[in-house]
Amino acid sequence: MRHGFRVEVSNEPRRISDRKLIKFGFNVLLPRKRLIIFAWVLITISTFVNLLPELFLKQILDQGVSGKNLSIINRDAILMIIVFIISWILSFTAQLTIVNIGESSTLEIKDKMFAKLLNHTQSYFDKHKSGEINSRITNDVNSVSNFLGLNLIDIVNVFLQLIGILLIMLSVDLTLTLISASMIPLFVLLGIFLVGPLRRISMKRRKDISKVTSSVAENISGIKETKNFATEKKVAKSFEQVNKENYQSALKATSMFSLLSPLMTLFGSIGTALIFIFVGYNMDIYTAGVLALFYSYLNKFFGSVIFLTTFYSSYQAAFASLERIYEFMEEEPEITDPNNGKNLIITKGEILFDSVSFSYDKKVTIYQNFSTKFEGKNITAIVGETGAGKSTLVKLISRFYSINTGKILIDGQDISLFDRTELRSHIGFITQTPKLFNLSVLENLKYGSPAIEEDQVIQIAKLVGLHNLISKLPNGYNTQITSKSNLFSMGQRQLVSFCRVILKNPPIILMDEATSSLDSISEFKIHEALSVVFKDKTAIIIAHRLSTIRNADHILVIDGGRVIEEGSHRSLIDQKGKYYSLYKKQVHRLMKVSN
Amino acid sequence: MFRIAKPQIKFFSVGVLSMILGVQLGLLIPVIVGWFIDSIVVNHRANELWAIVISLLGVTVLKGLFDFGNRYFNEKGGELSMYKLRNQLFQKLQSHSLTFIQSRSEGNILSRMTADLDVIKSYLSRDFRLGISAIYYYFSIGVIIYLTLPLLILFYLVLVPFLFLISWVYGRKVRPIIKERRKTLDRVSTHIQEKVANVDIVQAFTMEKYELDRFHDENKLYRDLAVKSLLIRGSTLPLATVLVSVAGVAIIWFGSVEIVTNPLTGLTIGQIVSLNLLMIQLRTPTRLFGNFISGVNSVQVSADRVFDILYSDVDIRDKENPLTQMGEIKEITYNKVTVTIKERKILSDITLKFKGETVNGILGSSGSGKTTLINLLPRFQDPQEGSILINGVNIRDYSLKTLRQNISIVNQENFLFNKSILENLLFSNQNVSMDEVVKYTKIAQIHKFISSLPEAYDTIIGERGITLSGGQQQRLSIARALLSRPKIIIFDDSTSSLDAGTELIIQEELQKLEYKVTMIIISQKISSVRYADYVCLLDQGEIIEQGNPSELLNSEGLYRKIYSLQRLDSMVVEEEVQ
Ligand SMILES: Nc1ncnc2c1ncn2[C@@H]1O[C@H](COP(=O)(O)OP(=O)(O)O)[C@@H](O)[C@H]1O
Ligand SMILES: Nc1ncnc2c1ncn2[C@@H]1O[C@H](COP(=O)(O)OP(=O)(O)O)[C@@H](O)[C@H]1O
Ligand SMILES: [Mg+2]
Ligand SMILES: [Mg+2]
Repeated sequence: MRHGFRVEVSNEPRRISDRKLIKFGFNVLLPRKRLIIFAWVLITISTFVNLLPELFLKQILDQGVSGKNLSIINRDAILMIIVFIISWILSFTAQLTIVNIGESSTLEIKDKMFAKLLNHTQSYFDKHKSGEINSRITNDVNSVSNFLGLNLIDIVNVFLQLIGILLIMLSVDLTLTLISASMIPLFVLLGIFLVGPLRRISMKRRKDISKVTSSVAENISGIKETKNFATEKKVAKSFEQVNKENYQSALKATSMFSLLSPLMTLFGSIGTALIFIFVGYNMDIYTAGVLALFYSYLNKFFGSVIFLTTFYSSYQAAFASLERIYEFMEEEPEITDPNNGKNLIITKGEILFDSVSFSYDKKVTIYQNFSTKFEGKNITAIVGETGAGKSTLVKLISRFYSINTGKILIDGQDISLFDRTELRSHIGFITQTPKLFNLSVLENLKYGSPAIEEDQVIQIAKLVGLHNLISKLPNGYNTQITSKSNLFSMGQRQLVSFCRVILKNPPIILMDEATSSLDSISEFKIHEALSVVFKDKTAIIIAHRLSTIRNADHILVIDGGRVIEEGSHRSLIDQKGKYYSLYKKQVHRLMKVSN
Repeated sequence: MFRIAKPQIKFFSVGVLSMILGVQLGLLIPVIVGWFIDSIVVNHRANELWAIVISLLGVTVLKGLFDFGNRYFNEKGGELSMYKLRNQLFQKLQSHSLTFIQSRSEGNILSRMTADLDVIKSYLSRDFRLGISAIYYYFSIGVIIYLTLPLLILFYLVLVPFLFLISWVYGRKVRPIIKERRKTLDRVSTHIQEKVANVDIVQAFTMEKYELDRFHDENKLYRDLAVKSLLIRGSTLPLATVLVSVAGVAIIWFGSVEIVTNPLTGLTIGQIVSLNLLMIQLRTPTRLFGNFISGVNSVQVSADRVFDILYSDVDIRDKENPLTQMGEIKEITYNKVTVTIKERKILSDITLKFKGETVNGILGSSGSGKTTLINLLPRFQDPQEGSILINGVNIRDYSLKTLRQNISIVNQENFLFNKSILENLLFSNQNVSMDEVVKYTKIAQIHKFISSLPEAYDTIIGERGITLSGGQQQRLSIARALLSRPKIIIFDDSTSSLDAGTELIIQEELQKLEYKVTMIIISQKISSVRYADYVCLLDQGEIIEQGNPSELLNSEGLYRKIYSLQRLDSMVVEEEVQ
């Protein structure tokens, strides 16, 4: 595939070693080591405290009941109650700490990931699907946080419990302990047999459900096309296919998991039965208290063993997620900002391309040794056929993509020496497709200059001709809109973009077909408004319409990654070259109409 | 909510039945342990040993079978319900009008089809059944206790209401938080989706910090809610477990004292052990009972969100016995059409006629209602007043499918799927040969570009066609629309990103289409409608001028004004050409 989308085949072996991942996870937890130690201490204490009631029970039965000693019964009963209450307090505190650790590290990872995301160049977004990115930041992080929070602590807990139980059991009776322990290999064997298939099926499930999600997502976005071509049936059919696959793997996973727990219980029962038989043949040695104690511990004991055998799969799942986060965090943006806080000083706003080469995908070269100059405080128009590379050119000035070789200079300063945010704070960029956010109308208009007063926004809205429409809305400037909303027609959205840039008031303005959907009259008005705004600014305008281009001080005609003609409108007409032939057609048509 | 489960009721009934049997058998195990202690350990009746061992193993095997049945059938019922529900939802979603979908954000709809379904599913196949099992546990253990020593039931009767009370308090307190958490999660996800889709704008306006802060705030809220819900959970549900444990101790204590002081009651040590084990078994259902209670509400919230899609009326739908054939287009008539959205008149009293197989133009300032006007034709939206007729038949009499198969709109912004170029082209019509595909891509002036790509028609074009230039996207969409061979084709400002030369060529090529077509061209450029047989001008939702282009030019109106604006600008060239 040309753009090399990474298909998420989760059951392929992991690419990153566990050690690296552990180190990565460790670094996240490190700042919280105090809390973690605190939680662990609490857990350790509570684990041991939790083993006490059985001992008290044994005493009640053996010494209290059999020995007919009421005071022991009373004392131990009260002790048991105290133990339960202490254990509750301990485990509650521990859990609270753990959840705090988990959720705070989650918050931190999410923030880092999002910051990283916004730092990427456009080429990253050309390659990665938004659904995939979304699922890394939400699902993967959540599953890791659950693991960090609960499982990692649980495993310590369970280990301690296992050791504690073994010690107590040993101290009570060696033979019975050995019989119980003899069941462990059975559990391990079951674990080994089931872990592989269980993991595979769980991963297949994850993959299938994410297919369902992206299928829904894409079809919601494309619903207009579906309606337009009346292909609802076809689309629904292909969704049903994906959905069915998900259902089938869910069912398979379910039946395997449903098998697991009865099997484990059965093994536990076999252990109990063995003990019963042994005791049955050695009746005189054992007291009721010992038996009650063993039976209770046995349950806990097998419970711990079961946890350990299944731990591997939750560990695998968490590590698969951790790996995806790791990869996400390790993928360096194509451009690393120097982070030197250097300020770009704009005097004239002259932009110079110095033998710039660029390609999107290292296969098709868009620009090769391209050099040109955009005069400061001038309006330069770029014209050329679709796909000629006009948009690419302005995207390079804003460093949405990084150039392969050469330099781009603004007033003699290489733009790659500055942070991108610094560079862009001097540039107003109106992109080809204007976009609205899920915000209020006001917030949309002042996107880019959050600190600006409402009065000023209204003033500019009046200037670009949006005020009339907005004031007719039920909540005026405070109307909430969705990004898909029809409230603004395409042309009106372009006016919103203008509004944003005018409010930002930068010395350099880039307009990529920014008036293409405007009618002549609005365009005329906008140009009048802009002639004030553009004063003393460097502007680069991409447009097809003569009416837009004519006002420019200078015109570049681009074709095949080169400037093939340049000059003023007049001089280009005189040249009778590409520009002339491009626009002869337009005029021709007008004249035909007028005949 | 039970509406969802109903079709799968047989799985759920089998599941719940095996669950109850499994629970009941599980409760027998402590009794067997008690039996063992009494007869073997205390009374040394060796002859009962094998009976005990065999019943222990037998009960476990049977219990295992029922446990399997319990999980399997409940999960199967749950998964099957979700599978069916998801299909239904998807289909329903496809039949809803665009207005319905556009008024809800994409992220919102998506989370209804994923997260909300998950909530419903896990309630149906887990929390609900665990709730039932908890109730059964309470009941059955009560019976065993009563049978063992009637007096003990008093402890139990005091205990149980408290357990219900605690679960109820937990459910009530945690509900709003769960709801809030879900909303926050929704917003986070929408936030990411939106910022990824519009990252160019975020970066161009250096709003990274602003967006990061908003993101952080939402996530922090989410974290705080998580901690808060844990606080509530931790301070209620374990309390119930502690109560159960304390009751267990009380039973042990009471029983032990009884044996010592009052041996005549016949209470045995084995019975005390088994009662203790039963009380331990009661802990888990007690802990989970809270989810059953709190779940009722959150599942209802989810179900409501799902039903909003599933059961809200489709406002645009076929009438009964619709026409499924549409002949050659003779005329399209708008008859006093008025569109009002939120009390604002978008179109008022539009009356016009497009003749069949002609080229028609619509001009008008942005926001004048052009897109709304043509969206009425394939019924993406219905007018509040007036009617639209094709060949004298109201468009509401045609089936939507027929109507839309015969009408194609090329929009200003077109959605391209993250698939190959060919798959995108074939989206509108699968039954065409490669030759035909090439024929139409040539008309749309995009074939040459596609062939220049290393993988030509198999090139994957990225999410929303991101790797194509604006003009290339438009031309691809034009080819896609032509491929569906519509009788009516509408270009909604769809050549705005094309240079004049390319646009001209496409227009000329379109004249040569081998099938008959009625064209409606919305444009800002007078030059785009020069071939038109009829042009109408829209202003603030009203038709202010109409007629054929030369007529319009000779009258002193808006058309002439626009013409002169566009002509004035190019005067210099014009002189040259002359
Ligand atoms: N993100 C991208 N990835 C790969 N190729 C691209 C990408 N964006 C544009 N291109 C290709 O680069 C060429 C120039 O595109 P562009 O600069 O958008 O043209 P235009 O002059 O129409 O604005 C086109 O052939 C287009 O297919
Ligand atoms: N779903 C909607 N909700 C609210 N307002 C709408 C909706 N659809 C269109 N409008 C309003 O209708 C007017 C006309 O929109 P439109 O038909 O897209 O204009 P045009 O295509 O002529 O530029 C706009 O002012 C817009 O605000
Ligand atoms: Mg472009
Ligand atoms: Mg429009």
